[in-house]
Amino acid sequence: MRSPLSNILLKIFSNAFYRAHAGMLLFAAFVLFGMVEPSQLLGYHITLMLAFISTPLMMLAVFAVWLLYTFKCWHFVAGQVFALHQQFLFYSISSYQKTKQFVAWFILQAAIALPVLAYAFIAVGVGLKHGFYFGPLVILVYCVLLVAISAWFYMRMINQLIDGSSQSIILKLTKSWKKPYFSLYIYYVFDKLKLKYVITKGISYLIITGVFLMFADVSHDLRVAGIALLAIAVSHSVLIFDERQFEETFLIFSRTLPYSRLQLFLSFWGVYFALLLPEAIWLFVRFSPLMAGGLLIFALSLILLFHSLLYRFGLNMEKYMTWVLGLFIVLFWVVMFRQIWALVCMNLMAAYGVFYLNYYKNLPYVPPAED
Amino acid sequence: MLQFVNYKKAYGAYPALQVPDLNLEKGIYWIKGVNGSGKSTLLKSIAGILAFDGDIVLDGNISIKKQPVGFRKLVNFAEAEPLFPEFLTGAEMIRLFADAKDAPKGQEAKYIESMGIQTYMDRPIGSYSSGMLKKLSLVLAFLGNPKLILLDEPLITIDTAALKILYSWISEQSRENGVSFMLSSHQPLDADELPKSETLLVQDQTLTAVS
Repeated sequence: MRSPLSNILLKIFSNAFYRAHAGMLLFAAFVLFGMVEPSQLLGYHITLMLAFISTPLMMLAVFAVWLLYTFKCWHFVAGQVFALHQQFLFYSISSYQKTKQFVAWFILQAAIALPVLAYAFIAVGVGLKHGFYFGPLVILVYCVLLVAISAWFYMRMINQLIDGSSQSIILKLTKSWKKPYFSLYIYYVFDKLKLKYVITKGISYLIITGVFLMFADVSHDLRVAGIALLAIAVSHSVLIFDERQFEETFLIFSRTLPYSRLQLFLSFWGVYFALLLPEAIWLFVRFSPLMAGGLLIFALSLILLFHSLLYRFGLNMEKYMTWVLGLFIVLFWVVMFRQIWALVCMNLMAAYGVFYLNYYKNLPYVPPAED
Repeated sequence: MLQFVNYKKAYGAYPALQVPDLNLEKGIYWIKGVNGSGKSTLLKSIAGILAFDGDIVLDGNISIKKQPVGFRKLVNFAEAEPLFPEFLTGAEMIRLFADAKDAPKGQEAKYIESMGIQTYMDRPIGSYSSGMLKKLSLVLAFLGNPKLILLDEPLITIDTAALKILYSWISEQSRENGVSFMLSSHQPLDADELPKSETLLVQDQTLTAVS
């Protein structure tokens, strides 16, 4: 029988994880299984598995992919844990014995890593059948380690006391700086969302490298860069959501301050420009200044559009992600048809329009019962 | 001073509050009502936090909907249970509000001092007690040159000494600068400490003036 704890963890995180990543998993399944001639499918995979069991370099590559998948899990769970309606976890789970907590998080991680684990176990079976022993052992140890480290990471996260008095180094260093309103978002990211920010930048890096590897023969085509930036904007969607959540929670007072909507909209430009600095550097190193500036504005226009959508939907993650992915698919084709500059204008107009019409309206904030 | 035009607020299908066309003169108002009657909804609407149907107009020509920025310059608000970014210090919050509300330079000093919160100003807000946070939010509500200050449950969480000081600020601002106040509270305001106040009753999801 499942303990009540792992029951609730699976309910909260596992279902949502598969819902949020259904597209990605289907795509991976298609690449792995759909692109091979059905009659050769079995042979192909057995060869593939034996190859990485027997070649250390291949094994490292496969391990790297699994590690990325694990990072994705961390990214997702961390994002969910700190969502406001999940805050009860902090004062419920932490009263369980540490071993029980660990087991429950272990089960959760195993559940969300099931696609990887299933593949790994089949590979272990294939390896053993073909007389390999060391490779399968390494794979098993690696898988257990990945799941255990994840469980430990989640457990640490939930048992960490929220210590408001400790400020991160960046905040200590900037103590004497004047902090204009819009900069609060940036400080928040460097105070509370450091890990998420680093992971997002890591994903950005992988996207850039991956897209340019894949299209190496046409890497000077503007469309390739456009698609990379589109993917980068999508990878920032969780960070954008967190920022809006921060605004709705801690910056509610800002609605009583006399800032105009244009002022606020322009300040978001500043925020996201600051957060996109690593990507901006890459763009300016790789492309001519004019092109790089244009591409950067393209990425910013997308991010601002995602940001504005949240004023329309409120903090509804599912609806938001559906729209982000839907837009990704549609805009992908717009980029393919070389309409990237028209797209920048449309994005910006749509972003400002949605923001302008909804900023004072349709507030997702519902006050708690009055006392 | 403040005019409600066809004000209506609902949370989804639940009507939260309505105000028949009502015109409030300058003064100090005590908003009375039981739990869940809509006191906070009223104050948050006037503060510009909550969306609603209809309009609220200040001094006959500044509408919260048509002049969202101008209106907010003149109306200040302190929440019942304020939440501010924990990584900021009190001094940084004050600088932010003073800047946004065009407060005269050094205006905050006397408020900080009379509330006795100087020593906390450079600490991050995450380290504040709820009383400290409340005092900070009250100071913020007095910054700038407001025509109307809204205080949601100002009497809770602060100690009696601080309460006396708050009353003195209200009296002074009302007397010297003609600032109007709307305060929500379960207990009546202290008549000895304050100039004459009017009562507004929130009942059955409707706001009415009690004469």
